[in-house]
Amino acid sequence: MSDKLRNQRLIALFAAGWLALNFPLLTLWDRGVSVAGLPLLPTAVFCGWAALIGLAAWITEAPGGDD
Amino acid sequence: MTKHVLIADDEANIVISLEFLMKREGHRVTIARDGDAALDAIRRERPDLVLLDVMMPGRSGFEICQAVRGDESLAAVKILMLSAKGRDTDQAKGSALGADAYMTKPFSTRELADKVKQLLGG
Amino acid sequence: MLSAPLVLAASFAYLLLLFGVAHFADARARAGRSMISNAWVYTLSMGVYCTAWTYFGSVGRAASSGLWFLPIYLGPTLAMLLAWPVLRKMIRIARQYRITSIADFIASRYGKSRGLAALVTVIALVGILPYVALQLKAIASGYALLTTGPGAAHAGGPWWRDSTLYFALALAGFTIAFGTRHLDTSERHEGMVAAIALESVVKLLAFMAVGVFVCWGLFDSPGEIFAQAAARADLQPLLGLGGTGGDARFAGGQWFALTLLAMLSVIFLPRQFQVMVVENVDERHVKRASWAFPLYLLLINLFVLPIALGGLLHFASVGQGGADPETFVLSLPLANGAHGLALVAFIGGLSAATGMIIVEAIAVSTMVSNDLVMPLLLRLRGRHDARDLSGTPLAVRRVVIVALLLLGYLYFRIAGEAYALVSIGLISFAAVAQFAPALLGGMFWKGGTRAGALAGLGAGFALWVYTLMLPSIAKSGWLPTPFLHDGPFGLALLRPEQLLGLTGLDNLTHALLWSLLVNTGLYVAVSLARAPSAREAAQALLFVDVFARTGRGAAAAPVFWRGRANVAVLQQLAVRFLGVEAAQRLFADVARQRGAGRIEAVAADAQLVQLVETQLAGAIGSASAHAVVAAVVDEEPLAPADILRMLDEASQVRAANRQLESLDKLKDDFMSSVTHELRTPLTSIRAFAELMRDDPAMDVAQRQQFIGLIVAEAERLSRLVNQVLDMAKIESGHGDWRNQAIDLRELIAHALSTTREAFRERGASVTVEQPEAVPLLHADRDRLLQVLLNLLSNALKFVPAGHGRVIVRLTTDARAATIEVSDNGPGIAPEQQPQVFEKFRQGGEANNRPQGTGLGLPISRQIVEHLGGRIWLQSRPGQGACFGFDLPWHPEEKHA
Repeated sequence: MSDKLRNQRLIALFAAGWLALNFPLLTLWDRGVSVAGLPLLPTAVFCGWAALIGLAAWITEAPGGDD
Repeated sequence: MTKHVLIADDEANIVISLEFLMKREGHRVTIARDGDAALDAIRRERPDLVLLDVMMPGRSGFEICQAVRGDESLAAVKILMLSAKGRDTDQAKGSALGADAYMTKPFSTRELADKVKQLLGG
Repeated sequence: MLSAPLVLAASFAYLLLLFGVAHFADARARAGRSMISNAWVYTLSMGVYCTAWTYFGSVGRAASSGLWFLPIYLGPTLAMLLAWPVLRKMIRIARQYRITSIADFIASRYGKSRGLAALVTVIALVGILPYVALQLKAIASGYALLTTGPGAAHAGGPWWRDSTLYFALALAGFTIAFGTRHLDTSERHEGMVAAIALESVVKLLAFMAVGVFVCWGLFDSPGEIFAQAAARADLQPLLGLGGTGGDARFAGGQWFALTLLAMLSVIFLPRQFQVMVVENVDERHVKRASWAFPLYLLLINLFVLPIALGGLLHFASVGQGGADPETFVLSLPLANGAHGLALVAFIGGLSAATGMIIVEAIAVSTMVSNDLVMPLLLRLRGRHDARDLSGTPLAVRRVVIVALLLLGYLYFRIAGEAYALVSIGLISFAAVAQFAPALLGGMFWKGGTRAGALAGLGAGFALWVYTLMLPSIAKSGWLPTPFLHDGPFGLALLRPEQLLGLTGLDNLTHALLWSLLVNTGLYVAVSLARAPSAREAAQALLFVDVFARTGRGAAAAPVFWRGRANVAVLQQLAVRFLGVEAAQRLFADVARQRGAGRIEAVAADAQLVQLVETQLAGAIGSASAHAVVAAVVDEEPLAPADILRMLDEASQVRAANRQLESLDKLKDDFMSSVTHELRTPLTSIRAFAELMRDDPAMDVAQRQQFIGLIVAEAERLSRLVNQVLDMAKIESGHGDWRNQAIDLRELIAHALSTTREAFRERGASVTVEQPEAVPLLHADRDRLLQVLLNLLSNALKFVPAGHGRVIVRLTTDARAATIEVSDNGPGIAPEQQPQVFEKFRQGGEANNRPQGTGLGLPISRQIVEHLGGRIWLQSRPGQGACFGFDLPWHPEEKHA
């Protein structure tokens, strides 16, 4: 992908990350339930974190214009 | 054995002089006066040697050289390029495209005859 | 409990290992086979972000407030998403302008200002002290725990008996050995980077080992830890966002502030800037790092919460309440007999702390040396002191490193007790965050000025000191506390932690809010208050447009400098600061590049001065280098208009170059056409002559034919030569024009009689349409005849044999006389019409291209235009061609 597209996607991901990991969206996960034996909030945060990393990897590792 | 020489040049007078020269050397001569005719003649007649002018209407001598060398069946045809341009780059281009020899105009008839003998004899 | 000698020996061994790796990497680098030119190593080197804070502080934080340790790592993750656009630009700028520290970067951007460089250095120095103290505190407690068991508080006592002090000094020595062995003008430390990368791996593995031990060794699974924690009322809130102190509401603002703070710190901490920007080997590594570094952070944080909860559960159930959560990574293995693991964990923590200290100390000492001490020294010693100063920067850095660690220790003694580790670290974060407006603004906004940066940084720093630094000292008892609670002199509005009455925020968010707000506000306002100076404008262009001016396809950027310089003096300067060898090499390179035999033969132009200044910047910082060079060179001050003009000239020069290139190409084409045309007839002449010479017995008829051809070709040749000369004369303005009064009717008649024979041979007829009488025209008769003959002979060439028809039409009006020559030949295709008047283009079929030179029409055009007229062609294929030209009675004077 071209550099411009890459940069735009990264900025979009950045914005999305900020929203997802902050008040109020973050508080949606703050319930005292468990999923697969693990508490929801920490699991959700770590999974979201991993997803962010995964998407970043996909965007940056795609071959494309190196300026 | 008499060899068949094709003369490809658009200048009438040069053709006359080359024809005379080649006949004097004992070769059989045919003539083509532009690029497309030259290529046709080469493919049809399979001459032993082509005296190929570079600046011709239609295809240039370089294009013809490339086409002939790209054709496996014409590998036995020797190509001697003649050109009024004598720059090193043009000579190199000719050799790169597969010409067997390259001479600049005006040429010496003796040198040309010798070169032809060399190409056809060897 | 482990024996102290064992712990010390293990620590020492590990540090030696790091040192060995660094040494090895440096040797490889010198041999040209760099070990660190690798995206993974680059990523791992960024791991220096995780210090003893991560090891001990995070766990402590998790134990008291659950997930609140996390924003410190989420921030960098978000920041790295912008690495490719932002970090890469920083790296490009730093590489291009040889910037070797944050102070250099900011100072260079705002006009190479020394004052700004000094301010940034002071902020960095003061700001980093708490962080250094944090590391010392962590190691101290860890060591104490390992050797004397849990519950042993830091021994305190007189400072000369404090082992922490000796540890600090040992670290200083180690750092000096690591990073100040020699002066590298690019400030790269390959060995250090390799060691740091290794260190990142070690601390990650060690931490994960403890995590695995706790999750599956002490308990059955992570799930079990969480289940047990959820069952306990005091631990259950830790699984949510409930926040500290039982406050059920989520302090979203604080979470946001922490994330933002960490996001800024991951770039602006001196050690981070050093490894991310200065030590970067290849820009493209940034791509990998932008996701791989967040991955590292995720992995190292995976077990923080389990370890914290596990520790709380374990020690509560075993009845050892009061174990310091910050040391769970050590106390948990220790309490369960896993001594080896505890030692490994300690090594991991030690690794984290030393990594931080080494890189931070090197970065800060570079800044202090370049931007505080060297400028002072230079000013004190005067510019005429020729003493060799090439050894001084190194000495200064060593002193600074020791001083830094001692000051860190001092802060540790003064303020370290009262605070948790994390809180201490955050104070440092808030300090370096002040660089953000000036640095980021400088990279993307051309309007930022030095005054704005100074105002913003100054105010931001002042507020930081007031709202964070002083309170931290007060809370440890070293300053009277009333000033905290009641404000200085009793002014409640000026209470440091509730400035202007803003309550409801924790002290960190509060401080961050005020300092950044005022910082940014002043930066923008003061920058806009006055236009940038010439120097600032120039630097702004260089920085903000760095991508356009470097890399592929960038033209050589104009150098914004004007003045006179002396090569010998520049050489002296280079020797003085870079040492004899380096200076000699530099100038020899320049001489070679410019093709001059000796360096003295090279002109001291702007490029050379710029080069020398850039090299010096690597050794003494760009502000000092600029000052030093400016002192020995006569620089003419540039106004902004000058800068614009320089840019203009550069682009004009480029345009002129392009034009020259195309003209050159045209000239080459023309020359090669002419030579070709000349050689063709020569070829026949020579060939025929030689054939006749070599064959004396040639028969007469053949001989006559050949001689005839020789004569014809010789004529053709001379015609051509004449025309080429003619063309050249007219074009260059040297044609001799002899004007006389001409009767056009008579001229046409003359032309027709000349060509009568040719027409008859061709079987073509010609008719003339003209008025009875025409006024006399003042023009060159021969040239005009030449044009007519040219058009007639062209028409003759193309009319069909046997029934060709040519019409010559003469008309007059008040302005001009017009002559048209039409024929009934095949006409000319529209796409070929523009080329008709070009040199050496001949129309017609390829097979029967008539004998011609290809220059007739171009010459005709030149003649007609010289006489003030215009020549044109009207034709449609199959309907013949009509060439026409007009000749004004009173042409504008055309100058030769």
